[in-house]
Amino acid sequence: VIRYVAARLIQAVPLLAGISLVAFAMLQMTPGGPLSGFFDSSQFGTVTPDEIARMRARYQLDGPPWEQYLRWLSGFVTGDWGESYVSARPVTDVVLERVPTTLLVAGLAFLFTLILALPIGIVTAVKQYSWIDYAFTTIAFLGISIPRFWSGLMLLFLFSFQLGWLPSIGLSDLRQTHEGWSLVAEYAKRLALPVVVMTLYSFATLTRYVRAAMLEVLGQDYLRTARAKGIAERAVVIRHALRNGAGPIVTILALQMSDIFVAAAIVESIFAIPGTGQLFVQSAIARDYPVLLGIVMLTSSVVVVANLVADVAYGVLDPRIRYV
Amino acid sequence: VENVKKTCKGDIQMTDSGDHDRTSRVLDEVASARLTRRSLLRRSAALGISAPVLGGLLAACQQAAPSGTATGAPSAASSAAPARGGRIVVAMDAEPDFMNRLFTIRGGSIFAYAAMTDPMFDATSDGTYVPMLAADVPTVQNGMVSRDSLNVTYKLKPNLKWSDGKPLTTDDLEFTWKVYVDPESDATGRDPYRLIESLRKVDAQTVEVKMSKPNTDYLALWEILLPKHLYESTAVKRTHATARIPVGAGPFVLTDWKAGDQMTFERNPNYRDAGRPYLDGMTAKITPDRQVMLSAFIAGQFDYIHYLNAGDLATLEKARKDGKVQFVIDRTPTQPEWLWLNTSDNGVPGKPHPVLGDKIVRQAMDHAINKKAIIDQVLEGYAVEVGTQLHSGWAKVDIAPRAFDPQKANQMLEGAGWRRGADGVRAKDGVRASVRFTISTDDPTRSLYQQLIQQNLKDVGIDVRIDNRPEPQIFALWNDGGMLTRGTFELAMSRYGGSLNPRNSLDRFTTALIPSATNPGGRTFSHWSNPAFDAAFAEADSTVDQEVRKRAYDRAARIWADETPAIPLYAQIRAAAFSNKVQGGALKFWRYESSALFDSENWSLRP
Repeated sequence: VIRYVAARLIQAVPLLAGISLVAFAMLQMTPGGPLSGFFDSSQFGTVTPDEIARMRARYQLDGPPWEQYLRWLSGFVTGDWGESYVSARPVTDVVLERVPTTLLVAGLAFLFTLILALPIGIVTAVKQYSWIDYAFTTIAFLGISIPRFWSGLMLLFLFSFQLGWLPSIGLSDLRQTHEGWSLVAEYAKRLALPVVVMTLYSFATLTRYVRAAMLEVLGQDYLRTARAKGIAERAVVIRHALRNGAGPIVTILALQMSDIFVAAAIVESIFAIPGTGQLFVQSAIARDYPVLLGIVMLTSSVVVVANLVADVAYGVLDPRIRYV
Repeated sequence: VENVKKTCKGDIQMTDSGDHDRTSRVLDEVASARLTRRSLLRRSAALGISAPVLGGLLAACQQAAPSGTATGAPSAASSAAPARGGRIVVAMDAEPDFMNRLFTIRGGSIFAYAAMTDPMFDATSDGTYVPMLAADVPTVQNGMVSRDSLNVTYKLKPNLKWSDGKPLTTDDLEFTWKVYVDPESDATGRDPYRLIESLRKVDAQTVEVKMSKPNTDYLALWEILLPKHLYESTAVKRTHATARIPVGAGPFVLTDWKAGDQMTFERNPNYRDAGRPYLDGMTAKITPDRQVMLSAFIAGQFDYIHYLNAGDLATLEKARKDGKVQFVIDRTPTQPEWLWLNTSDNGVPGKPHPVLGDKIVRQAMDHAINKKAIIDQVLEGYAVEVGTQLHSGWAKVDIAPRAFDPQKANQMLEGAGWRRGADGVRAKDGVRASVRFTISTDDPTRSLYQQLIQQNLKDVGIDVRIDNRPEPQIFALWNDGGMLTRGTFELAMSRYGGSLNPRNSLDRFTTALIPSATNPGGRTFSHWSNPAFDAAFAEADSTVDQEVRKRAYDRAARIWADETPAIPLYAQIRAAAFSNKVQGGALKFWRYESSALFDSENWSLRP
């Protein structure tokens, strides 16, 4: 397994390099050029060609694009991700300080998704066409079809502005003003809506996949055999059916990782949460290319790793799978 | 009260984040003796009248002022002296890149500038200069400016201190100038400083400055000051610690900045006015979603919104009527929205555009466009029509906007030889009156009136083809092939002007600022060149004597209005919104890029 993981990690290197090349090229092709953020002609006073040249050298924008790319790449590998155009701080600082917040929000949403989607997916599969099944199917379709920016706004209007139960104003660092349980309670209040919005959508998707995977397995002969052996229904479902149906579910979970970053961009902007998603949106607006590249690389790496974890998990779930 | 009436044309910034022109320097002339506002401020200070009372007078007078029909709740003024203490929460839709205005002119930095930095001079809404850190405003009349405008004496108030307690002296003035002219520093907005030839420190409060030529921006110098004791050299970079957490001499101090989240401000213990600010501090909360921000404000979660967009005003006015917030507006025109007419053929110097190169066509277009419809239907009435860029301030020129009159437009075009073809589009000498109209693809508000204009022009036989592009492609520098700078557009829109120094509302029509390889940041988007206009502009630029300049600007503005190289579609108005908790919030200073925050030392909490 270790050799397999090592091989996969090595394979990931050209993949990430390819992603970086595409991302870099896209930013290069953006009309206006990377410097237009500095010298927006609708905003600035006199700009001399000298100043432009100095700015280009300062941000290493001189030389042909491939040279710029290689310079950026070698910097990236050695941990120097460049300097933010907007705040003049190292990109690593700008991006990494946002990661814990996104991990907290996205991690909680992921956890709740699992806690809800697995049992509900199983129950709706076992009790197919019962009222429970219909009820959750309806909820799931609502969850899938309501866009997150809309559900986010609606929940906010209801709970925060109309009822006044929950604060809308973001996720500040509360450790200065709260401690102990009141800190936890305050975090819970502020995280409730964003986590609900993120969970609703991913839960809706996942529960449908769990149901489908389980339905497929539940009809198999070996389950009839297991029941015939007199094993309790609960054990049949959990130990025999779920274990066999887990493969596709793990795949979906890994694929949902990339979706979580999309969700973070939307939810963090609406709820004023200072995470990487919000940073991505703001950097795109401000044309802060080094930061954009940094976030793209970070999220790509996470998705690659998540897929690797999923592949390894197959082996744990199904010993027949061999890693070559 | 008569004085108050005369002077009240409040201010406060309202902007669209898109292409708001934030450069305009705050500046200008003084010579005029109309110091009503200033003397009012002084006298009231001497009498111990609290600023909120004054704010109340000023706000109240908005109703009386002929041009300003304030619908807002006049800023809360009670007779009692404001209580000290308490904090407010301010909403901000984008995080500032820096808090130090030396490095940036983007919106967020204005917050820092307004709350943490006091400039040398400021100006009240009628364009009258008032000294802030300065002891007096230098003019030719008071002998602080030489007859040839080249020598200026600046005097600081005595015993000024930085927020860290160190004395603020002429050493800091000198150091700031050197930073601005050091090519190795990352300073922006260097132009006014480039004209300083030498600077002599007379004592800790007085400097004598020699300019290389008359500097009409001489009162825009030292808008921000750098504390010399915090820097090793004049090559100040954006990576310096003070780029994020600057030290200033304003009412508040930034004590904490959580990236993407919030900024905490505390009272400056060394503020020059010992009684102020009244508030203990402010928290600025970054709330990227504008709709959420507005709703949270109305629900009472914020006390002030830093920057209002035109689209916010109707919502806020409704909330005011429901008694939920305070909303002050002032209909004095500020920054105009321009319809740029490219008078050149693809930016080639000296080659007029086949359609827009014709002055009669440009004038007829001005008559054909229904600006009132734009204001009423798209902007819900929150804008005003103007006929010139010098619509207010000390150099105000009385030029009325061209009336909406399609019939007259048709006659003018007919008379100039533009005849309607079978398809209804006019043509002359085989050239069809057909032009492209380019705005940003991501600009829903503008695209609404873009369509109105298209229809208006169609009615007089001018065909408009909408050709919208991504914003950077339109506004990029000459080097990067920007359509405005290269002159490859035909019609476009952006905001510009509204500056206190009339120079900075007119310079974008000078030949000198036509963009080119050697002037990649040039801003004469109309690619219009008129020697008589240039001469009048140059005359006004040759002195800081306000009377001489006023006459020259008047001439320039009239030439401009006749030639119509661009059409002012409307001018923005000013507005500010406060929660019901806040008192003393007023529209006070000129600076169009400002917010009511420029006055935040006078805010307090309602008892």
